[in-house]
Amino acid sequence: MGPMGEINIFTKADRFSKIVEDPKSIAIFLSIAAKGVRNYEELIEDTGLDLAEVAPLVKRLQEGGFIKPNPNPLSHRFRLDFNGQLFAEQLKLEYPEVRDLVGEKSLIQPIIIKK
Amino acid sequence: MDQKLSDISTKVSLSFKDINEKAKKALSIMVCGSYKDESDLRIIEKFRDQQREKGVTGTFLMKDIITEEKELPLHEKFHHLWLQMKKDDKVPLFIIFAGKSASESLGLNAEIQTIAYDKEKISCAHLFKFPGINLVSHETCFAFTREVRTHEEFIEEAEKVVNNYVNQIRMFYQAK
Repeated sequence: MGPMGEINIFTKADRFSKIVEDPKSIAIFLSIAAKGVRNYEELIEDTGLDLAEVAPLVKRLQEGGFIKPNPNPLSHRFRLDFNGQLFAEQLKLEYPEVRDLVGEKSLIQPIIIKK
Repeated sequence: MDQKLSDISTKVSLSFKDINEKAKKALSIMVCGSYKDESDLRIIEKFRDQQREKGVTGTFLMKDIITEEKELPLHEKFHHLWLQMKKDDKVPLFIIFAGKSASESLGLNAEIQTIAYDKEKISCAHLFKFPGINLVSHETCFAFTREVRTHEEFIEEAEKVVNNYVNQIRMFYQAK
């Protein structure tokens, strides 16, 4: 595979694995993908998890680029980040149930660059 | 928990227990090429669709992702895309196809230039080019370059690269 510079593909693959094999993480991710934006209370309601479970999983999903905080930090709401947008589209290709849940419309948002 | 959300989440997460499937989906592949010539564009679209059919569903073209609201310099668009891919928990891979219209393609040459300046990007980039195609001089910085003579040969060779990545990731998962 050749030199990989500073990108460690195995670290990335390992982190990916930990998220996608965890049904609770996937539930939080799909809840946000389906609804657009969700706060902690709404995620707790959607997933049936408690805050102690939701908070670290939200942090983990944020670190992996799956979700990001809404621009207003005081709202404590989350939306899909770039990786999450692509991953949701990946899941839609394979699972009709996911397509039904999150809708047909592409979730990929244009990358906006602030100058 | 909402029963529907629970059922889908369980199904999705269980499917990732399959190491082969998980390895295919851990990749984020950006296929770059010239859109100037219809046949060059069609071949990269064909490659994307074939990869998706084979389960490598994270295969995208730049035009699938960047639908700009305002005009940006081409190298900036690509760099910002890279910054996103770099921080994500997916394995980034650039497949760059310099087909017959690549010489006139500002976009493709800007991408090549942006990659050449950055050793991290280069480590994830594979350049496939037709013989005699004139690209920006930065192409010589690429670590992984292959000459292909036909569109079919591009598909074959690029697929080998993708399979190689999938195998490496699969073996990593197996060893854990």
